[in-house]
Amino acid sequence: MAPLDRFLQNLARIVARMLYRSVEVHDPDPSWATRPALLVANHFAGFADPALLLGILGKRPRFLAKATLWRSRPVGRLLDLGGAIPVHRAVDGSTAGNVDAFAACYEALARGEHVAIFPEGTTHDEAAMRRVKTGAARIALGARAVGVDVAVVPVGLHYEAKARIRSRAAVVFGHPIDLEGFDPDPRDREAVHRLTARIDERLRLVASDFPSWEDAARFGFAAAVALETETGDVRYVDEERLAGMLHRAPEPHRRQVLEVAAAARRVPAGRPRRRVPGLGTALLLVPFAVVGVAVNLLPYLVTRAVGLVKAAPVTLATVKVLVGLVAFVATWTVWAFLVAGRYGWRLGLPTLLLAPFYGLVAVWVVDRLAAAVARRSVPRDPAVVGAVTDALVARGRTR
Amino acid sequence: MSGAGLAVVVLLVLPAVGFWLAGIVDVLRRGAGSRWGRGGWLVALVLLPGLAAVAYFLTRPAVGAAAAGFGPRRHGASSRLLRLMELVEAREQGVIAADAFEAALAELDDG
Repeated sequence: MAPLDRFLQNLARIVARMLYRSVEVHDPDPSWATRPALLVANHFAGFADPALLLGILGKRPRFLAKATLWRSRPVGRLLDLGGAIPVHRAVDGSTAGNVDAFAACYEALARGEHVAIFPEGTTHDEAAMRRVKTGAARIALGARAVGVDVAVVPVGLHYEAKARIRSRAAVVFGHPIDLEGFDPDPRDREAVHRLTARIDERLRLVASDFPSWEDAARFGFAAAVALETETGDVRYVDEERLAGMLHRAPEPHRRQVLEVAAAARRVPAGRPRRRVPGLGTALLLVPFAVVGVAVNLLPYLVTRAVGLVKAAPVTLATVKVLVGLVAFVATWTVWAFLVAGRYGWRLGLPTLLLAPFYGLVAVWVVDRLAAAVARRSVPRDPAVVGAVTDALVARGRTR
Repeated sequence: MSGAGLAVVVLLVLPAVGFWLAGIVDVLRRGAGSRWGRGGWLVALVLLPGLAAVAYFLTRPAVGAAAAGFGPRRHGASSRLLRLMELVEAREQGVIAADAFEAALAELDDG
């Protein structure tokens, strides 16, 4: 892995820690990570999606991006720097250039790399996933045809609030899709369409896929109440996974879950949370956190201001990441120059590390102090756990 | 030492030295890359402490190939609900068959 790749990934990790309160990962079968892999992900947040993936993966994938992005020279340079592969969409005109794109994917996979594609073909703000296009299937079958044992891994990307800084995100990996039984020939239309349907089905199981945002909120609430009651803890990634399973449960279980959960809203929910791990250390680090806040306050406020702009959430998600990246990195660089001007580069250079480090200390301390004074926001209700359990068992049996 | 001097030592010098030492320890403990590569980093950290520490931490590889996030750790990981979610997930994705699902369910009820 080239130093440039590692630099981009480490930068993405640092910025992700600044932009998100948590990025929770669920990967039931991480063995795919050591194989050539085609990651197929939903595309709900524009540029935030590849940035989030880059920040959590063990190695940098080659992203497929629409070729029209290369029309802007600076954006094209940035994409080239990140190793992105241009893909030509039918909606943008000729798809003749995709022969090269597919060849680049096969070569990358043959080298054991990971390739990431957003097979909906566009980014959007809808609660339901768009229908998956055939590109992912053709890449997977084409790679198999040249002898690459590729793992096709569905990846669900979830955002609590796309435009808001310090909100939560979750990444749900699915089990790799079994490619046995598919003719490894990307020109076999029947095989391509069958595998596309399989990818579509499997991606919907890990991504957020509801008829409306109201439905997503109602099933999310039921999931949160069940998790809070059963485990005393509502991790965002578990809430999203459970909400999807409940939505997919058969009737009458689906309806019963919603009815019981609606009644749980009346249960008082004011008791404080349990002990916060690391609170003592956080209190000791408060002086350093104050420095971290002072050093990073300006880029934080600039990035936060993005959420106030009137625009589509998916647009704001992209702008948030780009503004955050530029604002934080520029601020750290300015601090390094200021310190170097006063004390020389012996301290100026380490300031490039210390500025983000103090920022990370600040968010760590603030998160723990906030958790210590937070009150439980989700009610507990054993009846919801009972209805949720029944719905899950029914879902498992009707599959 | 003046107040400003003390602040510089505490907020800049000590953490900078800490990063430098952490870099050396990290090169030795991680064991990532070739022996020549690790040796090169150690030499660089000794000869150019500030620059090498910055370069090392910004370009060091991830630990392992698996994806890793950050945030609150899961409590109650052994809870019946979380286990049931894993089973349904495996069933939905075709990883386990209907009879294996029932067997795991019975085991869950017994346990």
